[in-house]
Amino acid sequence: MFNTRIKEELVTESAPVSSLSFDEKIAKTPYETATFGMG
Amino acid sequence: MEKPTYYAMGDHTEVISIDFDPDLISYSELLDYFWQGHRCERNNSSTQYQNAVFYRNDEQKKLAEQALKNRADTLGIKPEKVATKIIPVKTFTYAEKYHQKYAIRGDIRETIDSLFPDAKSLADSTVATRLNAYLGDGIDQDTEKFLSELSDYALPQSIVDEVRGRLER
Repeated sequence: MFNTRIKEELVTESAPVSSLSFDEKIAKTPYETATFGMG
Repeated sequence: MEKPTYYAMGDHTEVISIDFDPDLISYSELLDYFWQGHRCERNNSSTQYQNAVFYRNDEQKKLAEQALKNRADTLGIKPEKVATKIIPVKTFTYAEKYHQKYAIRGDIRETIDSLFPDAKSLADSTVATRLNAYLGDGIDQDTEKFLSELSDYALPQSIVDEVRGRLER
């Protein structure tokens, strides 16, 4: 396990991803993206 | 290929792309799940199903390379023997809607589909992601916590009842 933090500039969705209020709230949270291919 | 589809994928690879809050989980922790979740000594010959970390910046690349070395150490093999690739993301295309959140099946699928107009909105939804995780299996689940949060999602009651019924069985 590493302790290093990602230094990528965080982004925020500019529009809600669905009409559900919970998703709208989460969409305002800054996030990073990890992408994996797993066969 | 600019617009790959399931039946015409070109040189694209099927991937899972995770948007995460780094205050809750780190990229390195996700890397740990990734390395533990696949066999890295051999890779698939097809690009479609290859094992790979697709990094998005230099920091992710550095962490992925270190994680590869750590995994090799754990397995007692040389890093050069690890077949999993570490390559940059070029373009990402959402899979078709019917490929998204596959564990959400049965009676509630139609209602869920009606809530999300396209593949992106369904794929990016935290609510749909959690439903998919808990209706599927193979993950560490805190079902009681999930059920206690279910009412916060403002889902149609028919879905709440169905999910509750399935998980409480």
